[in-house]
Amino acid sequence: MADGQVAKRLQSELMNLMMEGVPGVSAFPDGDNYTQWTGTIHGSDVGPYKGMKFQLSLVFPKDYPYSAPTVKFMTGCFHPNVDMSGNICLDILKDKWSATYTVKSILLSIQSLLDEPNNDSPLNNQAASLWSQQEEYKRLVAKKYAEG
Amino acid sequence: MDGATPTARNSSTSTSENGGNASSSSNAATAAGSGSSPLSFECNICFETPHDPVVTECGHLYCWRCLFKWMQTKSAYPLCPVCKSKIEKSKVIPVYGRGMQDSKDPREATASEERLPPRPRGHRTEVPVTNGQMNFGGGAYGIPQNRFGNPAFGTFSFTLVPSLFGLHFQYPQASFGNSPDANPAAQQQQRVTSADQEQHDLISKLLLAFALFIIFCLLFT
Ligand SMILES: [Zn+2]
Ligand SMILES: [Zn+2]
Repeated sequence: MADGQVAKRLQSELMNLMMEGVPGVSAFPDGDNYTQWTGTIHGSDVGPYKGMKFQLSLVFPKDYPYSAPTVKFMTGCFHPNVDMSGNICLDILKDKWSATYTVKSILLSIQSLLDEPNNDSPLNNQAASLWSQQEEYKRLVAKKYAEG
Repeated sequence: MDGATPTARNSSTSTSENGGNASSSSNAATAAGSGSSPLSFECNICFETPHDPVVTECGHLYCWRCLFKWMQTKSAYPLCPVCKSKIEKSKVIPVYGRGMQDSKDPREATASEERLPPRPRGHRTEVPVTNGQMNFGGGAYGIPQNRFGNPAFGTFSFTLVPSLFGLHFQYPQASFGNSPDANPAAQQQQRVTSADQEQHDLISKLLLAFALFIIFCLLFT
């Protein structure tokens, strides 16, 4: 796909997102060229991230949607599958990527990852080992969130 | 353009296959998309009206160029982007709307896109033509065969119990030259018979020959 077609597809995704108003997630391009977006995810009302809001950056490659965008947390996030720099370990952003995934499906997947971590392949070992003690986990999540 | 439908459907279908991490998001996506219209004929990759539309075996619609590019990116083991079913180029079905019977020269597409092969053609199945001729009087005992390709190919026939019954079997697969007593009219008809019927006829004729052979043995021993 030429650059024009990447922009076209992202334009249609943006229109979609705005028309649907997906609860808990939102995203918007940073500039006119559509290759970089900022997304926002709200923690679900039932998990340890309740009431928290996380900003993410999405950078789209030239061959999007044949390759996944690079997605990172910009807000610090204490989570088994997120490292200190905000990198996320999520299969659909790597080998399980499909050309039919969208900004919306990515953000919704990350939102559900928050409450359902994959503790078998952690990027943050402390968070992974603490997951079983939910009270302590919640306390630390809140502390790190407050620190930024 | 109804942009709302494909994304809602795509994400709900696609994330459902991804195990634990994505499973709850699929519910969210389904709920979010429930208000939109269920009908949408947009490419599942570019989200536009498909250009040279094709459908995979699993029924998912794409532009031929979009699907081909996806299959190239995942050349080792390409899966349908929507449902993760295995996909093969030879099993992709073109979709022809009214008046679109592949009218465009496929080479045009090759010139404008980089090395895009022509969209696969549709497969047609001919209605079988019944063909039951038996020439006992020394003529050819033809086995109907699908021989569309090369009329110049000869048929090789060998004879079973030749002197008594004049029973000839033609084996068109082994083509070593024209048999002297092959019936041209029979050959003409053979070309329009389906493979299923060939199989059936072959078996019944072999059984008949075998029965005649048994009778022959009983009479002369
Ligand atoms: Zn397309
Ligand atoms: Zn499919």
